[in-house]
Amino acid sequence: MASDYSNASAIKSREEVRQGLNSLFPRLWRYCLALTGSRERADDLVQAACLRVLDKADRFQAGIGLDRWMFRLTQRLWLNELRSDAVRRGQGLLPVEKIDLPDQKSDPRANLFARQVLSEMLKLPEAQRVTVLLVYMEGYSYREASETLDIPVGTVMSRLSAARAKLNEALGEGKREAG
Amino acid sequence: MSAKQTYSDADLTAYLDGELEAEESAKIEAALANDAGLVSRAEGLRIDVDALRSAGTALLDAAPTAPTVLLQEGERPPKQQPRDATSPQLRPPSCSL
Repeated sequence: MASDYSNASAIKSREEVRQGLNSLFPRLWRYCLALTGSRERADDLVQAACLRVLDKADRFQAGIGLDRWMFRLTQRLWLNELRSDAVRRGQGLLPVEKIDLPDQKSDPRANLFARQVLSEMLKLPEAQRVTVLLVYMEGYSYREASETLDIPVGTVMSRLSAARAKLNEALGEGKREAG
Repeated sequence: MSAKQTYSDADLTAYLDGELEAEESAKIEAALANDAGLVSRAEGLRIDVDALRSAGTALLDAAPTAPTVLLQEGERPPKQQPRDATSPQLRPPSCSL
């Protein structure tokens, strides 16, 4: 009986995770792009990450939020298994390619600026890129980002300040920024 | 007079991001009012967070389509066949919790 129950609940949670992952997929891909710094590697990583997340679905507990949970699993997959392969194959040495961004606004200058911002963001070192993604694109708090990346809050702060200094230098100060 | 408090770039970043407690934030604000050097360091850390967020939103539209393993049986292309035990047929659980 216990095994029937856990089997049914495993199928249920796998189905829930599958549905959740399907709607979160663009965000997972964006996260993979920040981790890997290249579209080609992001496309590879996101495929592997989906399989990994589905594979571990029965361990998912609703407390943490599927997004942060899948980000954690994906980061571990990248750091522990896939990054060294990518580096060995020399992909790590490729220059960061330009991503073709769809226009978001009617103002062409705003769209151009968005492309510049993204291009500069992708030039940041991996650790800063992924932290910038979680805090400024995903909107996570420092604490949430630190838990997701399994690093102290102080490290989140120092990564963000280093990233801010570089982006500021490359793009000029954000005159339009509200806060 | 107390010794002048020094703030690191990380502190200033947390201030800019609104991550500090109100008390700590007020202290930095007061220090900024009296310390041109601190102001210039803070200026050096300013970025357009809105533009970054907006670029992030645009990136979502650049994402590839989700892999078939994430689709429901009915949504998958017909050529796709269940390959092995790692992708079992997904059915709604027959018993509830």
